[in-house]
Order: sequence, then structure tokens, then C-alpha cells
Amino acid sequence: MKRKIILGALIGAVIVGVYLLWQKPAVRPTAPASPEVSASAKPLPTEESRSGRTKNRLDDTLAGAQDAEFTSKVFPKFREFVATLNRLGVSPFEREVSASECSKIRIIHTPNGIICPFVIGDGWTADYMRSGTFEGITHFGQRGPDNPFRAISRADMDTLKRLSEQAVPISQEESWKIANRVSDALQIEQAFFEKPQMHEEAMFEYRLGLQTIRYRAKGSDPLNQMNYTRSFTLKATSPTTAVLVRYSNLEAR
Amino acid sequence: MVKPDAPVPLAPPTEKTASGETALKRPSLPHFYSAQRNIPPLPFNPMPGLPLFDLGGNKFLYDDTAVDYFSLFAESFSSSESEGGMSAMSSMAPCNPCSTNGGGGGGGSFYSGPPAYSYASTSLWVKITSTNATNFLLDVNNTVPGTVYGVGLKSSVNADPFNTWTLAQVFSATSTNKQFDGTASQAARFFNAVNLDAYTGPSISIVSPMAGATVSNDIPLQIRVTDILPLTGVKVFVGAVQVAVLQSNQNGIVTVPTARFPNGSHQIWVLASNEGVPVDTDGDSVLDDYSPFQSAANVTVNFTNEVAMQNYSPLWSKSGSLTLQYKTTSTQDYTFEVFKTNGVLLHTASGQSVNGSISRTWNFTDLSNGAVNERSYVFSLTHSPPSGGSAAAAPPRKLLITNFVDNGVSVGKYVVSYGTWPSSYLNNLLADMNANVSSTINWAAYFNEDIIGSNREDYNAVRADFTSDPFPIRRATQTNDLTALTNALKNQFTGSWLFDGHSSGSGMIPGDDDYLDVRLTTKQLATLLGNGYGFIGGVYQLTYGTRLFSTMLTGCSAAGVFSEFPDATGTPPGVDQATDGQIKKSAFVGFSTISYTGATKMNWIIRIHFEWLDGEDYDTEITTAVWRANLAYPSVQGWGPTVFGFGFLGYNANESR
Repeated sequence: MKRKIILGALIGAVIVGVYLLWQKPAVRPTAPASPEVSASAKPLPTEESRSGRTKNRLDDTLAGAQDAEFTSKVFPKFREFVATLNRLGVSPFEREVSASECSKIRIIHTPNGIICPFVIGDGWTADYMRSGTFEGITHFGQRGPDNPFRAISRADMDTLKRLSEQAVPISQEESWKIANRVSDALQIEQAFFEKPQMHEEAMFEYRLGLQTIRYRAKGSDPLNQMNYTRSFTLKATSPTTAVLVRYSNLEAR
Repeated sequence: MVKPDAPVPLAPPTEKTASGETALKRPSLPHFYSAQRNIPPLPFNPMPGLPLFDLGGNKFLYDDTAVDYFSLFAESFSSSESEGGMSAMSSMAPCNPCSTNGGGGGGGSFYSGPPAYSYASTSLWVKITSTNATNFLLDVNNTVPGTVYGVGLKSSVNADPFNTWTLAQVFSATSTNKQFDGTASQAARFFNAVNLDAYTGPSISIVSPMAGATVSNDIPLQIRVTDILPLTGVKVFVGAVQVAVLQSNQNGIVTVPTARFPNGSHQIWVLASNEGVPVDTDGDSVLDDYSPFQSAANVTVNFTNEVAMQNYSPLWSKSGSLTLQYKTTSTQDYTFEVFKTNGVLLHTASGQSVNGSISRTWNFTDLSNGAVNERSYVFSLTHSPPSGGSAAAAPPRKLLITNFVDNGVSVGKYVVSYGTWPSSYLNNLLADMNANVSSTINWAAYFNEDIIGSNREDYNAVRADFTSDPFPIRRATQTNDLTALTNALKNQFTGSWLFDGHSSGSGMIPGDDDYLDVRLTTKQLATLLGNGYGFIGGVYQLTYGTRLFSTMLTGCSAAGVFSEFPDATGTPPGVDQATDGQIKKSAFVGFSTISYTGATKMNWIIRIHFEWLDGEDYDTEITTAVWRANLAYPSVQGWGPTVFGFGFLGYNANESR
């Protein structure tokens, strides 16, 4: 036990140091266990990535973290989204995230606006969307080797084992209490959906302390995954508390 | 005096005059529709000139589409006026018996529409009464309050089982009669009523052969199906082996090849499925699913053939060679041949039956002893009695079958096989993937046997770690196997499936990969997916075998309405194929409303590939990838993009991509 405390203190010190030096976000529920996924394992976006825009082969615009459109339009909406989660006490970030921590900023041009996926730090990703009728965050979630959905999909036993060892169990009853607050804050209009479904994310005996809530458009086909237009996943931090680790809004047009 | 069961012509509609006398209403002009009656078996045919159809359940229907009521009416009206209102029915050939058996029809009568009969039946029946040239009243009689009924209509009647009734009205009876106002139209000439509370599915009758008949060679099987809902499929089995699928426009007749089965008593089964009715699955009063109905009928007949197969199977597994065995009732000379499906001869052997038996083995080589590797072959046995006898030589007979050969090796307890590839990396990848999948399935079955279904115990034992030895899947059981597979692959927690929708042999992976296509109708696919999926029309093609798990997302229009073989979309530029191990993820994505080939769709697909397959940067979900592509190419949204399910295979084998 003493060894764990010392180890925890060291990790805490590293995180604080990283925070002070680089102002990078840390993840509240589970500090990355492997060095390769820690906040300090990868360099900050290079000057090259911050420079002017380029195009990829799909004609999307690739931009750096200092891109004017990103800093003035996109990132403020993400900051709002995180602030909402903070107000609810379900933000996975322990501190404020800055635009400079973002990378892989891609702007997809749609007929009436843009979609802008980007990466936050090493372990998180989000989609911003602006159209004639909507502006905001449409997707948020984990990325990289610690992404539990990647582990489930790949049946990655090592990762599943590691994540499950860190997982905190939570009942669905408690999860619903949190989920209802989240759905209200994210303006999920229950009347437009079938009765929401909650299921635990797990594989084999590996339980990950995750509960996903999905909302299917009223009267729509349950088979078509595109009809689950709103969903989010909560990760327990205690038997009665959780943070939001995934959010998807496919309603936005 | 009218006997209770005798036909009674209905009185013509009447209306009271100002003086209170009953006057004849000016006849209507019912030249649009036909009457349908609940007629019990009759001692005579009242309208011998018209085709009579047995609807089942003691219902019969006369097809009067050829009768020109307008002209007949004009003639009869003219006659009734000149003859002082006497009955004009006798002037109408179809109704000749009406006048002789009628009576009791009320006062003076003249023709007022299609022949109308009532038999004082206590069961459900429908009456049509003309009200004017374009409108009529439809009475559903003998309804029981509280019971739910449906009214079906159709535009024509014939023997085609697929010409089913269209459910036009559903109502809960509040009295013993329900009346509808109708507008006559050429498109809806025939009406029927059904007790939906008592409805159990399609009504099947086997017209021929008769039970107990002795039959040989290829025989016609004639069936009748009556249903209130559109049929989605009619299959014919001998025992448990499917031998035919009835298509529309075949008038209910298919050929059953009796010589493929040993002589003796066999049951011929007919299985009919319809698209079902919408149901509310979660109690919120919103109809969100479909519940199909299935019915079966069978007839037992005796097969007797001079030469009959002993080991017919629609699918044989390739294991170096295969042996076809036949029994003969007399000595036969024979020539055994194997062809490619394009007619190229691969193998030939001749001989004479020995002790009533013919057994031929073929080792998958051609005439030059070169190995062949086709996905299916044609096997032919031409036989005739030995020549040289005093009797005239009988003409030779040919027993011809086309069978598939499963080239793959099955991995896992319930997992479909895949072929051997020239890349050891790929083979290892697929083996690992199948091992994982089979473990998932076995694990799922551990918690819920229903996932696997019945009669699956003959598969190999599951080890403690949920792995199991390979077991070959068979064509004869493919429906069960695929159902089990589908259920099992539906991850119990994530709800995702592994599926692959392809379109043609030259589709995604180049090369001769020898897979077996399973073409499924939308409804069949829906059944496999465990849901009465609400697609309209169209045929899916599910690649079963090599490719089921082997490739990745395709935007094939497998869900298209019009395209039976949806166009292959190919692989977007920059996405490498199996030869360098780029197998990454799999999804079943299609369009629900249209099949379309063009630049927009291709761009849509390319973007999904980019977003999802190459989406390592963002760990993009398939639904998000499709959503992004839909927004980038809005015209696609009208096609109803559908994501059935998805799964990761190898996760970006080439991480640099």
C-alpha cells in the first residue's frame, strides 16, 4: 500500500509538473497507465502544424492550432461544451483546456457550413459543426490506445484487462440519475425519442465501469444505427459519480 | 320458399317515393368491380361462364373482369323498360341460374350490378352494393364485436401466390356489420375480409401432387397461397433440403427433382413467409418494428426412379475429392461428367452399375489432371439400360445437378470459413480474427443458448477459454448457421455486428477467391438480423464464405430497391487491398431507398473510408463517419443510408495510413 501511495504521489507530481510546464489537460477518471499514452509522452503541435492551411486528398482544409477560424469559431464552442460538463460535474478534464493543445484540425466543407474534427491533447477528440441551423459540438470522445471502444472492438484483452482493473462499478440506477441531468443540459428532447436505452460497455468478463445511453428517433428503425441520433457514455469515478467520456449528436444538420 | 342454404338474389336498392310506394331505384352502373362472396360449397355453379377461385376457408371468388356490365346493364334496362319492369336477369348469361334459383329477391327486379348472393352464412362474408357509377358500399357481415378484422383488396385474381390481398382496412368490430364507402376503381376490383385475431399467416394448399402419389423424375409441384399480406418468399423442401424457391409469375408451379433423393416416401414441404405487420415493441404506441408470419404445408409422396442419388447435398465441402453415389433399380450403363458452370467439361467416366449402385469419385481436376477451383460445378449422370438386348434401346436419361463446393476451411465453432490466400500474413490475420469471433460466439452462447438455436449440439466442444475446433458450415444448414452467427456476432454489450455486403465476384478483393454467394431478399436478411426489417423490395447479396469477414466497408447499394445485383463500388483510391493486409474494419452499410451509381456516391464512400477506415487520428465511429459523409454529400441522405452494424477487424494494420 505504501508503495502505491508513493507511486501515486510521483504520478501526481509528474502531472502537476506537466500542467505547470505545458498547460496540457489531464484526464480525471484514470491517469494513463502506460508511459506512451501519458500527457507528456508526445510533443506539442509543431510550428509546422501551426502554420498556414493545407489540403488533404479529400480537399479538406488542414489547419494548425493557431488558425484564426479555429480559435475564434470552433474552439470557443468546445470550451462552452466543456463548461457545460463542468457545471454538471461530469467533465473528464480536471482543468481548462486551451486551444494550443489541439491538433489535427481538419475542416470539412459542407454545402452550408463546416465540420471540424480535431484532437485535444493525446487522448481526446471532438467534432465542431456549423450549418444554417446548428452550431456546436456534435461529437466528443476518447481516442488512442486507451479508448475503451477500440479495445472492445478489437477484443484487445491486454487493454481490456488494464481498463477493467481501473474501472469503478456503478449501478444503472445511479447512472440514470446522472444521465438525466446530462440529457437535460445537452438539450436532448425526450419527446422526440423512444424510451432511451442504457447498456454497460464490457467484453467477456472485463467490465469497464461505462454506461452508454442511446436515444433512438421516435418510430424509427431500431436496426439502423444512424437512427440513434443522440448518445453518450458515462464513466464512473465512484459508485455515485461519473464523467462523460463520449457524446454523439447525429441530429445536427 | 327459399331454402336456408340456397342462394337468394339480393333485393335491388330501393328508395321510398313521396307516396310511400316502393319504386325501383334507377339502376347504377357497376362496371368497375367484382363481387366477392362467402359462398359455401354449392350443388351447382351459378355462373359457369366465369372463372372461379377458391380463396380457402370456404370462400370462393368469381372473376368477372371480362364481363361488360355496362353493356349488359344498358341492354337489360332497355329490356326492362320495354317489358314493363320484368326481370332482365335472364338476359344475362352469367346469371342464368340466378333467375331459376333466385326468387325471394323482393318485388320487381332488374339487374343492378354484379351478381349478389346471400347464403345465410354465419361466417364472415363481404357484400358489395353499388350506389352510383363510381361508388359502392362494402359490407363486412357477421363480424363479432371486439374482434379485429381486415379488409383486403386486389386488382386481379390469378393462381400466382404472390398476388396476395393488400390489407386496405383494419377495424375492431363494434357490431355484427361494418360498412365502408368505396370508390370503385380499376385498381381495386376484388375485396375480401379476414379475421385478424384468428390470422396465423399465409394459407397454403398443395394442389398437386396428391398425397400418396407415386412420382418420378422432375415433377411439377403446384401450390396455392392465400394471404392478406404481401409474400416475401415461398420455399420448397424435400425433407430438410431446399430444392426450389417459388418466384412470382410462376403461377404457383415449381419443379421438384425427385431423382436427387433415394426412392421411397418423402415429405415435400412448402414454407411461405410474408412481410408481417407493424408492431410496437416497446409499448409506446409507436409502431417501430415488423413481425412477419410464416406458414408451412406438406404432402407425402413416393419417389420412384430408375436411378436416384443417395447423397445429394446443395453444398459439398472440398476435401481433396468428392464422391457421388447413386442407386439403380436395374442395371444401367452410365456416363458421369463434371462441368464448369460455363459448360467446359472437366471430367468424364463411363461404366455400368454394380449391384444396383453407381459410385463416382472426382478429385477436382480437369481433363489434363490440372487442379480446378470453381465455386460450383455441374454434375451429370447419363444412364440407360445396357444395349444389346432384344428390346428396343431405351433413350438415355440424364440426372443433372449443379452444386456448390465450399472451398474454405471453417474456423471456430460457428464461424463461416474463408479461403486460403497467397499471403501468410493475411491468412494469419484471418485466423486470428476468426478465432476471436468464434470465442465471442461461444462466449455469447455460454450465457444464452438461444443465440445459437436448436440442433447445434453436433458442433465441436468449447474449451475453457471459449475457443473451439473448426467445424465446416454446410449449405444445407446455412440459414441456421447464419442465424446463429448473426445472433452471436451481435455483441451483447455493444450491439454491433460483423457483416459484409458485396455485390459481385469482381468486387472488393481481386483474385479468384472462390466464395459462395448467398443472395438474400431484404426480408430474409432482416430475418437473419433478427428483425423484420422494413425495407421495400430489393435483394441483398451477402457474401458468405471467403468474404464474410474478410473485407471492409462497402457502400454497395445492397439495400437498393431495383438492383438485384447492386453495383460494385470498388475500393476507393488509396485504400489498399487484402494483398498487403489492409483488412481493418467491416461494416454493413447500404441504402434503403435507391440504388445509384455515380460520382456522388463514390465520393460518399471514399469519405467514409477516409473517415472511418483511416480515421485513426480521431477514432471515428462508423455512425459519425457516415454522418459526416452525409453532410458533405447531402444528396445521399435521400437514399436512406443505413448502417446495420459494424466491427473492427484488424485495427489499421498499417498504422502509417
